[in-house]
Amino acid sequence: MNAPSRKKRILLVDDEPFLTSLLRMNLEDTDEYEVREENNSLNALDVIKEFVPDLILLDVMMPDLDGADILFRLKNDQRLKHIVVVFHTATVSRTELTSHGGIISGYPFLPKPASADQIIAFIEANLPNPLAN
Amino acid sequence: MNQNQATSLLLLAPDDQRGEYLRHLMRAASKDSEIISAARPDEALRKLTGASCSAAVAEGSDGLALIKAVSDAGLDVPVIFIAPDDEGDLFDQARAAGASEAIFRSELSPDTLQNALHYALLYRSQDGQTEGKEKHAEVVAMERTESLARLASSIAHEVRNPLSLIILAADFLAKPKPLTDAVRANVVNYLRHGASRIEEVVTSVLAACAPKELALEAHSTNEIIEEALLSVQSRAPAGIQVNFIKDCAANLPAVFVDRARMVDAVRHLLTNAIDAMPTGGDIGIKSYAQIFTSSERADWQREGWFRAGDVGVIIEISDTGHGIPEDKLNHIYELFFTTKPAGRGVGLGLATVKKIIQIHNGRIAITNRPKRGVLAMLTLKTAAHS
Repeated sequence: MNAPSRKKRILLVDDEPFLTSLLRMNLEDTDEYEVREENNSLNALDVIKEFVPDLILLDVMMPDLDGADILFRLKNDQRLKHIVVVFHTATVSRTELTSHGGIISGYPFLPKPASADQIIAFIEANLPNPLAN
Repeated sequence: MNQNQATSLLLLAPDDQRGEYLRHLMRAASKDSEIISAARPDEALRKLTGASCSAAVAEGSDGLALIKAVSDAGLDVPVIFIAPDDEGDLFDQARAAGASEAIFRSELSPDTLQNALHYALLYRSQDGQTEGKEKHAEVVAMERTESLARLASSIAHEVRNPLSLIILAADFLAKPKPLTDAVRANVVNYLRHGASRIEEVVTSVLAACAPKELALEAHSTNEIIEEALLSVQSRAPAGIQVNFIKDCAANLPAVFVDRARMVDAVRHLLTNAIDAMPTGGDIGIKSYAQIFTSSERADWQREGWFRAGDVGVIIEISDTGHGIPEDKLNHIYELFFTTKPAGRGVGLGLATVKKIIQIHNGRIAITNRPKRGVLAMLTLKTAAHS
């Protein structure tokens, strides 16, 4: 088992609590990640500041603040703008994404539904440096 | 349809004095129209056939005779009937014979006549063989395609989320490792939740798009309200105080509805009212009867097909919640449009309510109340007029 400090920090922001719970269980099962869930988009920025994740898996359509709002605020905060953000959303299809090479507006997207293996591969591919920390 | 465009209107009045008055109102109501007068029903019918009139205004017993003659001749010309105030029978007979609108003399004004002409000409243009009909069909087809695309995209979105739960739960269970009973039960619960969400989406889409045949019978509005109320009693979260304030009129005329569907419609509205007040509040539930006058057509006759003289029963449900943002009001009946947080609704309720009310030839209106909260108003036809 790796020391907790070696684990990569993943923040899951999605208004579906059951989904973030299952994602967390699957990610934690690998023993590679320290995972935090946030289901209220209004709390997302506070949690980001406190948890300082290596990567945020962000939903797009959420009440109050949507994924784009959170991204905008994050990228305008000097202390947080370096954090990697990837989107996990049901608003785009796999076909739409393929034609964009998996990137929309410069950000990687993973369409829902995705398997645990696909999500892990997606996270690993986008972490800034998988071997660091 | 612009009622001011050049068109010919026929007038059949009982005498010269009434003729002069009606001609004056018709000019005010339809400024650019040519008005052709007739003294008797047979002459009126001849002129209607020969002069390609768009609509006719006819008063009294001769007017009734004209409506019957137009119907017998199979002419596609709307006839607006004016009834003396003490001639209720004539009023009813004219409507039964196919008058496009019946108006009592006391209700007659340039506005009521303008509304009556507006709708008469509008329906004629939609049914007639004009280039307008083709344009209308084109617009309808385009709107249908766009709305189908939106619907397909919404369904995909609503199914993909619960599908994610199923896939991730299956992935977790598939790993070769021991699980405690509690963890297994938890994951299986997620799996079942995902499956039932998909089932809910499919069932609701079918209900909102293709309702089954209606089982129409005369029912008490207040009993429908009571049944719906019973089903939402436990909707408010524990510790949240929601007060139901009822003001339901006694002895309302029966409404001719599919009871289960109407209960469902009222239940959705009550559910929305409760969900709009996460910290609690008051829900007003009101029922009353109303006789409609022709002047009330202007706003919503096209939806409801109520006619002057019909008795409707109104159900009002109001809340003291956050209201609906003004820019969202136009979208509230769209499938999957919701302002609720996840888990409280996927945006199928109002689409379903609207469909239920539409297939009952009723009317739904949802507005923000002046101070706070939402007022939902259902208007239903009574058994006698359905």
